[in-house]
Amino acid sequence: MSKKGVSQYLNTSGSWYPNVASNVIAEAGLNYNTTYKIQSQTNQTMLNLSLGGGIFNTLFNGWQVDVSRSDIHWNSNLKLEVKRTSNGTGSIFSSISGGTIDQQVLTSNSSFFNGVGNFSNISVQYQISGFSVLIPVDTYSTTVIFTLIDN
Amino acid sequence: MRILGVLLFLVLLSKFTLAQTVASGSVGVNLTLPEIALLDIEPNNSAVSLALKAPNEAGSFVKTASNTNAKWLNYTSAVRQGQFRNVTVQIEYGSVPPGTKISLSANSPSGGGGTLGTSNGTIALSYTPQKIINLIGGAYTGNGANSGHALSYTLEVTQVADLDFNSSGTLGLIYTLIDN
Repeated sequence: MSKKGVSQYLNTSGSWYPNVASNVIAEAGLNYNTTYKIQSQTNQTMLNLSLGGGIFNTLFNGWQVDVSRSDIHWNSNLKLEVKRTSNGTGSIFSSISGGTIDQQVLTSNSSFFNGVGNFSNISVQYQISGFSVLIPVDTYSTTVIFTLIDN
Repeated sequence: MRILGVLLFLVLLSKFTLAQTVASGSVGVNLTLPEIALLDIEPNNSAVSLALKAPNEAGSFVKTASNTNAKWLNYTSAVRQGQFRNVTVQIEYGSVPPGTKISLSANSPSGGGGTLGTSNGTIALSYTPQKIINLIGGAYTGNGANSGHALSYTLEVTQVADLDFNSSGTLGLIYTLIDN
């Protein structure tokens, strides 16, 4: 889903609907291991972006992608993280950097990665940690928002 | 010259333009946490022995035999908001020796975290499920002996006339972690 300017765009595809297996806890009396986490596919979400605005802009203008989340129903103990797992495809003048280490997705914008020029098929992976049997059984939903900023 | 000036102005203008959001996209993340109900007897499932001692003085009689903290009940429970569970116990097989009753009590929990259950006091074992621990929410007791609820068993003579001095037997008990 994306919102576009006249010719700028940040297209996203690939939501994530993970389930935690009920046999993760092997022994009565134990909580989830503190190191337990679930990970999405490395290419769970694909991003395509362009600043538009003509050949100069699409080739040479710098940009930044921020990430945040908007909770529908979430538990604050659950830690959602995101990282960029590929550079995608750009032009000969394009460059991309940052975002390759897991970073927590917060309800406020934080810088994710940045670059120059148009890009397609930038892959993104998620992981969730912070599990506990003290968190009520439920389906927790949030929306991850990627924002393209013209630098 | 004039054209160069205009170009320079445009370049400078572009350099001093403030960063601005030009587009955004979003994806959904839906995480489903499962219900979990695990129950275990620690340190093992071996039999608990209860034997009445012979009196050591004429005219006296030993009416009870106890085995305190003989076993520990461990559990892990993940439930929906506002949902609770309890632990019941019942005799699965065997019979209580004539003239006696066997009682069971669960202590307050030790260790773990969350909404641990509360003891239902002392109950006399029967073939009908009876609650021994109430109001377990999302909780874990910790694993092993000395974690969770200590279980104590007591054999008590209720009718001396019915006793068979040489009688003995084995009872099988079932503990169940069950939704309220």
